[in-house]
Amino acid sequence: MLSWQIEYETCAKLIDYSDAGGKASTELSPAAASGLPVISADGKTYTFTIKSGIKFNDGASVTAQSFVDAMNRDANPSMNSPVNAFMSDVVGWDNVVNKKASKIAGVTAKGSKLTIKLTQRDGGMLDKLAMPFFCAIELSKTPVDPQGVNTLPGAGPYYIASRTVGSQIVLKANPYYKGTRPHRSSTIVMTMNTNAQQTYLQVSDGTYAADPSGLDNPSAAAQLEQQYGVNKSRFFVHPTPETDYIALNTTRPAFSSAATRKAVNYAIDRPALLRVRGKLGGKRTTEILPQSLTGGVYNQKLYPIAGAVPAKAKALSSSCGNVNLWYATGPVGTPQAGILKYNLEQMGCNVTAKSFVGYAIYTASGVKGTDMDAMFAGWYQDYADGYDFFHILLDGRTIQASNNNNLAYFNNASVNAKIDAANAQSGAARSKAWGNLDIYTMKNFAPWAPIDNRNIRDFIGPKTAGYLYSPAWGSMDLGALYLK
Amino acid sequence: MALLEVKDLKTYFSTGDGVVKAVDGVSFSIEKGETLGIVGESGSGKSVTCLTIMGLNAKRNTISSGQALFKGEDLLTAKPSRLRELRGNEIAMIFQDPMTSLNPVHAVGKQLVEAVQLHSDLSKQQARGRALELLKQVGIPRADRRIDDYPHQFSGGMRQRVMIAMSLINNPDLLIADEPTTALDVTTQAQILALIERLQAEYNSAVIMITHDLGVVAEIADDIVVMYAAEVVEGGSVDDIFHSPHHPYTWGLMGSLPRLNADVERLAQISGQPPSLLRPPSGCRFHPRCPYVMDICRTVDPELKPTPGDAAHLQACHLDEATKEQEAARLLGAVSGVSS
Amino acid sequence: MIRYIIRRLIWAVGLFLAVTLIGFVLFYLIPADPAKFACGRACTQVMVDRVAHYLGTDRPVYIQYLRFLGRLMPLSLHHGLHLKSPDLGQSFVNRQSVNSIVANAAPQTASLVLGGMVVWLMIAVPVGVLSALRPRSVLDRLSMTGVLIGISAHPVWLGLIFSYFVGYRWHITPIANYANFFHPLYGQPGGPLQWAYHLILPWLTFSILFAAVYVRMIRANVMETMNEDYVRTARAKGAPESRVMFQHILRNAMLPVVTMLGMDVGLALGGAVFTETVYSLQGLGYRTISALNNYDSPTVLGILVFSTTAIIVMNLVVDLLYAWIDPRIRLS
Repeated sequence: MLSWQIEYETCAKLIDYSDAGGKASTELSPAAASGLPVISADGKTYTFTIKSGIKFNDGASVTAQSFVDAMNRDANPSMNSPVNAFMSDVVGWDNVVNKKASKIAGVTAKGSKLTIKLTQRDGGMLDKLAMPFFCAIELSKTPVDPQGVNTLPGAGPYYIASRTVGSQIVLKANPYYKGTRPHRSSTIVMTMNTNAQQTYLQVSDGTYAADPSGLDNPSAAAQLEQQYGVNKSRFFVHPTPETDYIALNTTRPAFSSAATRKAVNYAIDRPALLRVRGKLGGKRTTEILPQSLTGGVYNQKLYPIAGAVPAKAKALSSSCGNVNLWYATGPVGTPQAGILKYNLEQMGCNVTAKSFVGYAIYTASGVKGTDMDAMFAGWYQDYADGYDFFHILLDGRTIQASNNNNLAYFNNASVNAKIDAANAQSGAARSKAWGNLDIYTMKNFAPWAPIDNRNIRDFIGPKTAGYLYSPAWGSMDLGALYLK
Repeated sequence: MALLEVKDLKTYFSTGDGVVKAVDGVSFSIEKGETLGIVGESGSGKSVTCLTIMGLNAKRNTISSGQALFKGEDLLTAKPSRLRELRGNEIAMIFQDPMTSLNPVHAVGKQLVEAVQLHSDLSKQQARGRALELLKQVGIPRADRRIDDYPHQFSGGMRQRVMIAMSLINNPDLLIADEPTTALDVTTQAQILALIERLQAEYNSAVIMITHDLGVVAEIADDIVVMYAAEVVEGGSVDDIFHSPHHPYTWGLMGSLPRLNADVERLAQISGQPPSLLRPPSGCRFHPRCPYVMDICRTVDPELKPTPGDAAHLQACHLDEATKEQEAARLLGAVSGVSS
Repeated sequence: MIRYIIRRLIWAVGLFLAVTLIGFVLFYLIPADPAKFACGRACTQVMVDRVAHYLGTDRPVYIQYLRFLGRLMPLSLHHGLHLKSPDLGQSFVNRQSVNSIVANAAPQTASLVLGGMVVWLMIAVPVGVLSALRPRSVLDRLSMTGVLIGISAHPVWLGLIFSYFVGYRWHITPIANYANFFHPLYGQPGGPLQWAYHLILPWLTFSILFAAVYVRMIRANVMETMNEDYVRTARAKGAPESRVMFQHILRNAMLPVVTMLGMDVGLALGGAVFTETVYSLQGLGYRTISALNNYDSPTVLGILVFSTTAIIVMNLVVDLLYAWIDPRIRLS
């Protein structure tokens, strides 16, 4: 999520992930707020106190009002922000989106105090507020313009000095930044390239310091590993908060029984499916959530990760029948479909594969009642909370006529209840609740056959130093990089 | 000394199928101010003869031998630069198809000016004056306005007038006209021939008139050469050819003249097709089409030799003189209605 | 002449309407919902519907088309009749004005295509003419082999090979990217010299296919023209070979080449996408592909409108040029 990384560099948020690296980086800590918010007993009112002395690059101070302005701008209907999907439980947010009000009633500033009122308890709210949509803005210089602005005052270590849409973004160090976040280079120039192979050559010879969107050249990974080692000099590999999985349509005859779906989890050859992504492409998994969201409740022994066990699969399921397998064509999708077809046939299914181009597979599979039985999908966290996976992908109560994300069309009352229960939690208990729900779901119902959590493979130039991985954004920390 | 004397001229083209002997031992000469007609069917080698003299055959795969002495200078061995000096200046040429012989993208005036400037130091303005003068002489109406028109804006006859103007613009000693009227309608043909005749007198140029139409040469030629299958089969003065033709092929050509008098019996039409020059017939090349063919004709190629009693009248035929005289007289009776 | 231009302009308007209508209908038929894509993947149906209303994709297709045409008109009735600049609308995906997307992309494509045209003609004319002059010579055989390779080689493959060897291994040219002719981007090379330097490989890559096709065409044209009667006439006038070649053969042999150039402008714009992608030139072709991948119909249609207009204008220019060099067309 490169754009989020850029926003992170230029942004003063209420709370944020630290870029100290390592485990600390996955935990929220106060940023522009002087501490974590005071949450009312009913969990519906959050009160932040804004630190003084945080300044935009033009010298203006960040105030509580800066955050109110940011949220009003996000909710403005002409901005059409994707964050609207997550903020319905802020009082008055949807009224602004639906043009019934011009300001969010539930978000107010008074002096250094910022108050956010919710319609219901939301244990994931803090993680949501760490999303880059909630950067402090300087209203006079950040108009409500759906086209975006080309220069943007920033209160983070950097600000956007110039932007040429689709070509270039220039970040410059914020002279008023006093915080601890790294800002080793005075200027960061980001150029948009269109060809991964050429970018690889350009990083290789030092034309560019790094390609922060990660290596998109599976065949190069093995050689880079051999030449530079991993996480040593120029080649870095880190897990991302993402899960690749096979959605098994629980409403169709083929996979209506949990036993057959569990059988699929035995039948699939996870190493072979992952190998398609090249060397160090990811980590095999049998769980729904990336490990970082499970609070340590994590079990990789539910199903085999070492390879297919067709005998066990057959023993679990006597009937599988006809399976319509949907996949998107591509260097990864096409070979993976071939492997899965073979695996399913080994357990006795009769597989018909159907290909799609690009995003069309999601539009088609999002319609309830199609003949899709199994399909490849992936989910990258929007914010660091299990709710982002379970509510969006596996909560049966969200199933609608079309535009579904619950591609397994999984609707189980006990799981739904556990989602609500986990969502009522907060802090470490919340993470553990998600981890437990994950194991519970996979052990008993297996609506998915998880394959892997993808890695990001970074390759930096010969003179580049200071590489630091930012787990929250799943990419390198731009401010930490510098040229030797 | 003759203005142009061609001796034993041969032009062979090598092709993928073998050697095409397009011109095979042709000799003739022309004096200053005189008009020579070269007559024959299409493909008999008339045009190639003239292109060889002009040095305009493609160099590749072409072998020429013999001599073409222009004012004593052999054109076949002359350097390309010398040939360029002569071409368009002392020797000019008019081509068969006026529709395609002018460059479509240049105004006619420009093409005339080019012809002048290639051979003189005249300024553009002077050359243009000369071009205008010539266009008037060849009878282009409102020449001063049409000088900047493009070839496609002229009719065929007018274009041929432009071609004539272009060929005469440097006052050449020799003008080669390669079927100049073939592509034109009958009325225009007569006008163009009259024009060439008039201008020939005015400029005192020698003219070689290539044609397949005896009627054309009868009007303007002094001498005639009849070609068949790359060889000369008969040559002599207009009188000789028209009043005492000695070769069955010539008789055939005369039989091909359009007859105004329908009562006259059609005679001596030439049947069959001209032979392939890649594999010409043995013996006399005309023998497969000759109504008088004898055994000897099939094996021995008759020499071109003078007619007894008329050294200037050359012919190549195995028939005995008596038969030739007799047949010529009989045939002439039939065509006299037109030729006089 | 004026009537000819007017006739061509009326034809252009018809073509323009046809192209945009087909583009619109095609997008309507694609089984993907741009609102869903623009809204974000976590959106529920209610949110998608709201975005669809915002984008206008919930309206019938003919209304969408008429609104699209209305924005394009240089006149507006809003607040009284007045002139306005044509508006290509806004991207569904990043809400950028399509006018500015096109304005950023067009110079890169124009540099590539027009410069490439010059390069391919600079290769094709001399090689084609020399091969025609000496058919079956060593040069002719070499150039015909080159033509075969040029026609067979895919620009992406060529681009990768060129940039790997010429750019990465030998450091003769940059590996990729574009340098602005006028206003260099921050910290980037720019100006005419850098512009051309960065475009060397793209030009070559882009030109090779067309150069190959044109060598063959020019060779055939010249060989055909050499046998024309008027060329013989020129020689009979005593014109030296150089003059025969330039004034009489080339001038006529180039007529069909000019026609082909006019027709190939469109083809070249399409072919540019490969070169653009491989060298990270963010031109019209690349933008179209990325917009297509995002179901961003305003961007695709905007580029379509711009390219169609550009092709129509260039065809008109070529036609006028043709009339200028071929007097037979001029007066008919």
